[in-house]
Amino acid sequence: MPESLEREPLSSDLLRGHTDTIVLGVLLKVDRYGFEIYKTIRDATGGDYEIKEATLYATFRRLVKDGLVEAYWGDETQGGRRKYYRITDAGRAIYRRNLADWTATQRIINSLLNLKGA
Amino acid sequence: MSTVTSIHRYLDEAFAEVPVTPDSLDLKEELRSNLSARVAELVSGGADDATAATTAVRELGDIRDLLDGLAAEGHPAGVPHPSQRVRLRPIFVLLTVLFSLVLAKSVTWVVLGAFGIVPMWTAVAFAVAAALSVGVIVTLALRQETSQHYPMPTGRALAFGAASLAMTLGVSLAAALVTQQPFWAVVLGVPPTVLSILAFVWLGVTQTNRTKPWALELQRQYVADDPFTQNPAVAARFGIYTVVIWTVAIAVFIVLTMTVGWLWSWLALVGGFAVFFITLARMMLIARQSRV
Repeated sequence: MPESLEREPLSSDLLRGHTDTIVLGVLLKVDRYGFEIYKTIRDATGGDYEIKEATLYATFRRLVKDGLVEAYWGDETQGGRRKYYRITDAGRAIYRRNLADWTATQRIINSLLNLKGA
Repeated sequence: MSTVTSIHRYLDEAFAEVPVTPDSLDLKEELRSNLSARVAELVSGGADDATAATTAVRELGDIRDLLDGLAAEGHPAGVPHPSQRVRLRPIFVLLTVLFSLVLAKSVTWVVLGAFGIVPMWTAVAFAVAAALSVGVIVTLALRQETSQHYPMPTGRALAFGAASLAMTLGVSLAAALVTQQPFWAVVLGVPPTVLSILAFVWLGVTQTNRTKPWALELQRQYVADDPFTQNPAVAARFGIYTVVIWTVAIAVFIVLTMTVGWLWSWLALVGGFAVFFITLARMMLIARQSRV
């Protein structure tokens, strides 16, 4: 890894580790296309955190390769065609597992960070 | 119009180094549609076209990693992308249908001839027609490029067509003549059949992929794996070492033979042998290790 001069804030590192799960979560209810997914995430954070779109495309490709989402081209009659992503059952399972893991981790870290002197 | 142009130009430049595969085209189109969506959003928010395009591209971020990944994946085998699909030539379809109809009719008449229902010469004429149809159909099919197959060179396709023609001619002639007088006329079917078998054997054993584009490409990309082939300087150095090692070994052998005698002098040759192989091993294997 090349040494980077600017230091990323920790939260952004943490978030990056969960990009897959975040994307799966966005797709839970409805199929979306790339920019829509990006917009949903951007709007959900209220602009506090912006996932790079390029990172998202790498995530899509990985998820498709792992069979967690499926991609298909929509049939828009006007305007350009869009490539939609649909979550698979395997994707839902992974999402639920990651969510449970995160909830457990969050509880533990919360209690550890709040140890006010023993 | 300028927004469209600038997005397209950006994508064309970004994908210039990426091999064109179904996968990379797919990603390019996906990026294009999403960039357009973002531009449309920005424009409806009041930005002018040029600013919107620039912003959309900036927000997309650095896609070099993504493209490097694509380049490394190379050509995935499998279903051809729509853009790689080869359409059949209309003339091929037309002629094949036409000659199939001729073939169907001819075979019917040959069978009728076999049962003695139609006159002998009619049956023989239709046997020839059936053979010609098979020859034309086979030749055309082999000449036709498809999504999965390259077209066969004309000469070879004609040879396959002729062999099929001879085979059909032999069999259908025999069928047409089987109930006719004199009964030995059936043997007229034998020479074409034998000829066609010989032709098929010859065509089969001379069949090769050597001249197909993918085989030529593989040949072009082939890189010999040993350091001597890859680096002629190493090979030359090894040659010089070999001469030096054996000259010294033989010289020592001669000197020892004359001074100490046969009993020990052969050790010089064993020593030369050992040094020679250690040198070979070092140059061949250590060079390879350092390269990896």
